[in-house]
Amino acid sequence: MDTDDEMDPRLRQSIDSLRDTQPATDLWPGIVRQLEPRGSVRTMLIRWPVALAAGLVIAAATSVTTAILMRRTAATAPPSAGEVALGGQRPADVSTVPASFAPGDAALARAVNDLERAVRGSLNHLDAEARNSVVKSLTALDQAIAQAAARQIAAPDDPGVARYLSSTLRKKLDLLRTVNQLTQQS
Amino acid sequence: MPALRRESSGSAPVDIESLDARRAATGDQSAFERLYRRHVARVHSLVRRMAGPEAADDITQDVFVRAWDKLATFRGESAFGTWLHRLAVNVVLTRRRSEKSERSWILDDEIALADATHVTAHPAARMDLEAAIARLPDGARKVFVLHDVEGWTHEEIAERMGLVPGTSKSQLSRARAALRRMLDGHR
Repeated sequence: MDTDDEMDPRLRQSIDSLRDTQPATDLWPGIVRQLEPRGSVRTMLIRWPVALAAGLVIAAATSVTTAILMRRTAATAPPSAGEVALGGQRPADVSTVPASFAPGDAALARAVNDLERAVRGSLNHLDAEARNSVVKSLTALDQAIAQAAARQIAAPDDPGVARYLSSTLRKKLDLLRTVNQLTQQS
Repeated sequence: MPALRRESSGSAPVDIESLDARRAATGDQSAFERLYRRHVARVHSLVRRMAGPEAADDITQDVFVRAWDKLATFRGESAFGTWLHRLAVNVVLTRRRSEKSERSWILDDEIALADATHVTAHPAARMDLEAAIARLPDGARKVFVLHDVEGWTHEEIAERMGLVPGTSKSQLSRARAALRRMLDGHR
């Protein structure tokens, strides 16, 4: 039996002389006919959760803004011990970034974690109604992120899942930025 | 996975490749066509050698359609050509596996290898290596191409094809012997 070191020199020479060659006919027209437009099917599949998350972000940002503007002048009692940290409810712990996240998503998740820590510390500046609104939105987004992360582990090559995860992380980051700005203004 | 032993001809600088890959991932078909033009010879030659000339066009089209679908997973951690090469090997091996298990197909090769060299009984019938590779049975052909042309190890081939390394080695040995006979033009 030949080993790797015992290959016939003539055969080795023939292998080294192999050259890549174009196909006899241009295959591009047959390929381009099969290319699915980006996002067409996937968008249909994930349209409702994306819309839900987007709606939550808009609703949360609007309600927080309204609540703060309406109550900015109202006297607010110091928070009780039970109200510290999001009124007793804490957003899902996302302090660790899953290993399955792509580099871009991992960076997004780290930014979310950093900002969330800052926002948690300042949420007591908001009144109870605004705080509840923020908590509900963050909880919904955390659930969406967890579902997307689980789907990504199950289907790591699915571009639709990857886009949905990135999109949901960005929505959470946007919400946290909005809340952070509002708590600093109040 | 080994690095490619032979670089694809006419490959573009990595930054241009990555840029086109990113553009294609967002839906830019012109960028994807540029990637196709740069890599089609490499992919088609690999597929033709592994799967045979009859199926090469069809499988090559499939490779590029799948590449389009999977571009979002290309993170630029390796060269685009290397990523595409891996995908092409996967497509070829997956196709064959869906028709018959690798193991049973290797057993069939034991018989087919004996016939592969039978027709070249005269020096005048000497053939070039591409034609000789095409005459090898499926299992021996894939092992030979992956090991001797693409530079994979027996362990890598065995893992990807669901074999033991010893089977890969024996297939390679038989393939080389058959090729020598075909190239020499005698049995």
